[in-house]
Amino acid sequence: MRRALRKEGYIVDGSLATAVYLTLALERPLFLEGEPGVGKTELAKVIAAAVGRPLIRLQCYEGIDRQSALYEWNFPRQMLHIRLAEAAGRSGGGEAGGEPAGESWRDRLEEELFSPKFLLRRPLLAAVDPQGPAPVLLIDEVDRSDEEFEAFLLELLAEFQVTIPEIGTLKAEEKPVVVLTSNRTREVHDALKRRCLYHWIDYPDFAKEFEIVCVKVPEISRRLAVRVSRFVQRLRREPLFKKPGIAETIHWAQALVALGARELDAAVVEETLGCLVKYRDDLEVLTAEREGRPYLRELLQEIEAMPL
Amino acid sequence: MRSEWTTQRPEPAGDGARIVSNCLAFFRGLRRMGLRIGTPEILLALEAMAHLPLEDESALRDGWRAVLAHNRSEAELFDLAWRQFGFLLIGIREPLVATQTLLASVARLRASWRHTPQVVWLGAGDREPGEERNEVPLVVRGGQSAAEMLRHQDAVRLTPEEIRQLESAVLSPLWRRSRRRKPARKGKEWDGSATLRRAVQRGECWELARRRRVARKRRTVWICDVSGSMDPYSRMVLRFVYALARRGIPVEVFVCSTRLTRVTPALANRDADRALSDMVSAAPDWSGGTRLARALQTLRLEWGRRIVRGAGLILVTDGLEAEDPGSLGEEIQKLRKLAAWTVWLNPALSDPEYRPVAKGSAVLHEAVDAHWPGYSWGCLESAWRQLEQKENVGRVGGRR
Repeated sequence: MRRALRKEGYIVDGSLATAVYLTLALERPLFLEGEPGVGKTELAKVIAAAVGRPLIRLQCYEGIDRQSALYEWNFPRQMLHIRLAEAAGRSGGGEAGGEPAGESWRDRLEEELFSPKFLLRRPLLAAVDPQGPAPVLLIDEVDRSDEEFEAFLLELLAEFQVTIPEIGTLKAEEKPVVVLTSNRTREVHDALKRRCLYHWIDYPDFAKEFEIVCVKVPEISRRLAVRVSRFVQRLRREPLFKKPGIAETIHWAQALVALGARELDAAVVEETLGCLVKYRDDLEVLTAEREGRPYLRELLQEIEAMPL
Repeated sequence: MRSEWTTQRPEPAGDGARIVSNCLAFFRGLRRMGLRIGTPEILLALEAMAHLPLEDESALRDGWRAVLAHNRSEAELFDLAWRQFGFLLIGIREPLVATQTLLASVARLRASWRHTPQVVWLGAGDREPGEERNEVPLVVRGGQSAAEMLRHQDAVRLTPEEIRQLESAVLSPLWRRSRRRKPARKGKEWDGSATLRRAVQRGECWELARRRRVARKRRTVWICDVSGSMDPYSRMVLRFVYALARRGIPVEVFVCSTRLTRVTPALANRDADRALSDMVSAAPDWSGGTRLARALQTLRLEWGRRIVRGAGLILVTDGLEAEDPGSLGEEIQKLRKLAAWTVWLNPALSDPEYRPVAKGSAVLHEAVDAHWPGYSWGCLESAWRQLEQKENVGRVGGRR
């Protein structure tokens, strides 16, 4: 499992690899939690690539409901269809005439109106009733949705079937692989977590982060990669509102390579700090002077002083 | 457990049965540590075991953790239990239970040491319902009933028993508008899809379906200063918050004096006195000094994005910041960007001559949305009423 994921450029430790393996073996959803930018969404993409299935992504937000998650009737098109049918009926009505013909015409129109042709298939329906192989379903940032949507997910994740009153019940022939992610802006209800395998993704340690930087930014020199990882590791110990995740590290490393930087000096770091730190308050913490000396310079010196 | 197992499955108990009964013992241990493990989880864990290499201890541990632990703290507990269980199987026994109970009793002793002696109030308060029901409430000087007088009494002059009597207040939640919509007869928006669906049933005559925004309870975050100068007030405030929580109103409570402690879990306790003593013992620095700026910074960094965002922030403090009045203002400004509104309840306002001139109070007074008195139970109630009016989202239906 580790090797398969690594081939796709994603480095996992043992416990996450086990969790992913069990997700596939037990056909249970995987619930990933962790700070933003530690690679939760990325993992789902990589799983999809590794098992060779399409990825369907559902981004959650407050107020997400059945219409935008599961299915919706394309009612503007339905209206248009009615008008067209009316127009056609009026022009052809003279010859057909009589009540009974009108009845059957209306029945037929109804049937047409609620046929799959007018169904807008949103991500969850697409996952239950796929056109190809069972996909990997990524339900991103569940914590942003509200309790009602969670309860709705419970039912869907347990049965993998959807009932559309006008059409009937659709059931997944093969269970899709489901990955849920949460940034923990609020606690997701236990009932949902209980149906899933749970894994907390933490910030990586130095060795792992170094490896990730080397894999993701192959143009970077080893020397710079070591310093970049060390600097970010050090930065996470600072009292920041939003600590930089791996996504930020990679972004930063790419920026440094693009600028052609060989060394980490204060000027380069200050120019590119926007890649790592996204809040003004945090920027101020770092660029301010402490005890009369620029703090950033001190951090860099500390990193240089570390033995290789 | 052994006997249960054999009754379930009468086949001869071999090695397999022993493994399973060991597993079950482990699960029971986890359950006692507070992990919610039911039969479905146990079955799933055993199923997972079949997929995992048994000779690799860490793989089994990781797999079971994914199945059995449902959040980060549970995962930590699980690791602890796993190690301990490993020792148990090998035969190394650490007196874990003994240390646990010892620690627990020490904690309880400390809590009781902080309990102030209670004076039972013998005034003409709420009588037992059986006796003297026809009596008119005793009127004392000033034309107020005893309960009414207690309500407006400064908390310094109240005994804990009297505060307990005040708890029967009528409090309703604060509301906010959600982004969710639901069908409603008098909604402002047109629900096109529902209209058409209805038209199919009715035929010729169409009826417009409408929908409206849903109102939801707004969470309030209380930051209660429990420094020495605030001691009589903070107990009353915590009782008030407890009363809110008992009525199903979402609240989060933090107490701070030299550092910030989250005491919300104690609110789940059904016994008010127990909840209060839990809150007191959870804070290691009760009646210490005040470092409000530092506490607010901790709140923002640790809980800002999770709890404060979109909630109402209520500060209860006398504003006597000991350490750094300058950064206090900045911190409040940063928190205000996260919270829906920020209100300061100040016990020191009991004195009509009081003006926020001390540096900390002046900064705080400038920074918050509202600055109201908070010295008596009545003050807290009227503050809550004002907040209710401020958040008027319409009274017709749609409330969750």
